[in-house]
Amino acid sequence: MFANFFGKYAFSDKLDIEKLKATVQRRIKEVREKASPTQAMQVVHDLCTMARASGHVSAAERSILETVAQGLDIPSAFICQSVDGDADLD
Amino acid sequence: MSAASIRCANDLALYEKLKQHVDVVRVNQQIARHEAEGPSGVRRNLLATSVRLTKTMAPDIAQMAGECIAQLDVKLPVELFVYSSPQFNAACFKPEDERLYIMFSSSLLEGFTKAELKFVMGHELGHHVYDHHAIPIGYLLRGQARPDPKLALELFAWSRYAEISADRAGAHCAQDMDAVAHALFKLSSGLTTKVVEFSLDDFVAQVDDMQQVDQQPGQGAPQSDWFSTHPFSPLRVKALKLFEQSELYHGNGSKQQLELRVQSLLSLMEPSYLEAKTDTAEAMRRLLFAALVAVADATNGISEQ
Ligand SMILES: [Zn+2]
Repeated sequence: MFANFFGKYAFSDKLDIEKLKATVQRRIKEVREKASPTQAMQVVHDLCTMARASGHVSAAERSILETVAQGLDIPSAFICQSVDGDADLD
Repeated sequence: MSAASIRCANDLALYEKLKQHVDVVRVNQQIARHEAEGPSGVRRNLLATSVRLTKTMAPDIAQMAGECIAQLDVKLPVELFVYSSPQFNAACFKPEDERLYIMFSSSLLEGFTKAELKFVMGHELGHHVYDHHAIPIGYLLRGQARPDPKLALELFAWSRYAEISADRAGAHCAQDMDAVAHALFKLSSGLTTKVVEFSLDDFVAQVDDMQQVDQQPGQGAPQSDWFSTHPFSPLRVKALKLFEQSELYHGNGSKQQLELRVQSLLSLMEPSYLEAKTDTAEAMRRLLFAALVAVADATNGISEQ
C-alpha cells in the first residue's frame, strides 16, 4: 500500500523503517501543536483513505490508525466511518 | 434543467483532463481487453448475493426509480438490487450487457423516506449519466502498477467533485432539499432521525466552524461532539445549499458564482498540505509519512515487497 503511493520516491534510498516508526508519537505531538483539529482530521482521513486503497484494512493496520487518531484526540468512530466507508456513497 | 447543465464544472474539467492521462488510458485499455474476453459477471454476482427488486415485489421503489430515470434521461434499462447490511450504502455499477445495475443496502431501503431514497437513486444514476466510470479510480489506486502520487491526488480531488455532481443529480430528482440534507445526515452518522433530533442549521453551521478553525491553526474553536466525528458530510450539504440558491435549482445566483464558492468550500478537504511550504503542512506531512510506513509495516512488512 505504502509502495503504491510513495513507491518511487520513498525507496530511492533505504528507509530505516523501525527508526521511522519510532518517530510517530513525536510527529503526532508536532501536529497537535501546529495544526487545527480539522487539519488533524484531514491527516487521519487521508491515512484511512490510503489504507483502504490497498483493499482490506487488517486489524494490525487498524490499530495503528486508532493510535494516531487517539493521539490527536479524534474519536475512533471517525476511523470506522473513514475505513468502513459509508459517508461517501460509491 | 438537463442533467448535463447541473454538472459541477470542476468535475467535468478534471474528468476531461484525467481521461487523457496516459495511465488512465492504459488501465482503460486493459479493462476493455478484459471485458472483450467475456462479461465480468456483475449481474451473476448480484443475482447470487442480492435480491433483485422487481416491479411486483417493490412497486414503490420501481416507481421512484422510474421518475429518477426520466428526470435524468437515463437511456439504459436499470435493474435494482438489495443486499443485507446494517450500514446505509448504495452503489452503481458500470453497465454490463447494456444494462445498468444499482444496489442498495437493506437498512437504507428501510430507514430512508421516499424523498431521501430518490436523492440516493438520483445520486447513483448521476454517476452513470456523467460517465464517472470512465475514470476507473479503484483500478488505478489498487492496481498492481503504482500510481504516480500526483495522479493519486488528482484522482482524489476529482472524486470529490464527482460526488458533488452526483449529489446535484440526486437533489434534482428529489426536489426536496430538506430530505436531501436528512439523507446526507443519515449516511454520515449511520443514525436515523428517530434517534437524534436533526437540525439542518446546526449541521451546516459546522462547516462555518471548520472554515474559522482553518484560519487560526492551532487554536481549535469550540465544536459540538459529533462535529469531530463526521466532518465531511456537512461540506456536501453546504455545497447543496449553494446549489439550491443558484439558477441551476430554484435560486438566482449564477452558475459561475456557484462553482467558485463550491471550489473554495472543497479546498477545505484538499490535502494541499502535501505540497504547501508552511510549518503546519510540514508537520502534517511528516506524520502522514511515518504513519503510512507504520501501517504498511503492520501486516506484511514493507521490506519484503
Ligand atoms: Zn457517489
